Amino acid sequence: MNGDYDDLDRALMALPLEEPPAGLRDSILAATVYAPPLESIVLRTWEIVLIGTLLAVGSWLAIVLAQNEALTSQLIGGLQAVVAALAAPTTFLWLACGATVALGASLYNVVPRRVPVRSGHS
Amino acid sequence: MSTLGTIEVTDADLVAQTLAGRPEAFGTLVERYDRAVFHLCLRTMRDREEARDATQEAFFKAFRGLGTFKAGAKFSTWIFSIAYHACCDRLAKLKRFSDSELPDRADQTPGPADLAERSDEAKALRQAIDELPEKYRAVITLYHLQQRQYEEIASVLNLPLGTVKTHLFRAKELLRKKLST
Repeated sequence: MNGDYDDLDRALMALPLEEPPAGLRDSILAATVYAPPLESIVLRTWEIVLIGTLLAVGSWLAIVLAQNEALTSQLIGGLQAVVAALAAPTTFLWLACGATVALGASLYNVVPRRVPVRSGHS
Repeated sequence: MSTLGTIEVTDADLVAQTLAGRPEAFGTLVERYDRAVFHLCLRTMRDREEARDATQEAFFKAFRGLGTFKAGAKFSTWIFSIAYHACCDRLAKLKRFSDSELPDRADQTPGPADLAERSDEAKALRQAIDELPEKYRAVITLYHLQQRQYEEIASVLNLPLGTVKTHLFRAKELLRKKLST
């Protein structure tokens, strides 16, 4: 190289590209083209409509409750009544009774015995 | 741009095909540019392993962000830009963990094969480029890869056109001096 800019330019343009390491292309393709698609949450149309409807109804109820004090107090009163009923000793007694019956019933084998199949008709 | 049989398939077509749900079209883009991108990464990083990782990262980012590729833009400029910035990020990270100045990090001790190839012009030029400061190295590498298109180089490096021309002039000046000694 004689130091001339034209020669330098020619040498630069003629410079061969570096040889990439073996397997580079394959690893790029594996990470891009052949990569399994990322799992995404795909909702069906009816699910989107349902969620939208629930959100709309929820928002509407929230606005109605916020605007109507009487309704809010009624709702709170109703909720309190439900909580009080659930917390009453009688409710717990009935729940305990139900659980005992369920447990007792589960101890009995209520599955009918399999009837052996006869090989011939009588 | 290249030819497949008699039909010319442009980079833009391949991008459009990939976006239309045919990811294998991106494979053709990888085949076209992986070597050039690796070349840019290697000249920037001066470390084959780092260059390999940066190349892979660049194509991965390009594939994921293909939707943001502007119609009418050149794919080569775009992928070079992604690759160059991936290299810059890697260099910044490496510098953070290294006390020494990173451009001197690469092993510059010539091995027997290197010594044997010293006479080779390409080898000498490559070595001279590697010894350039980072900003000149990128400009001169892109000058080669982008076939002298200054606007494209400016776009890749996100630098004003005038700065690119100045850097290129200084890079050539340094190269000329290195090669004449």
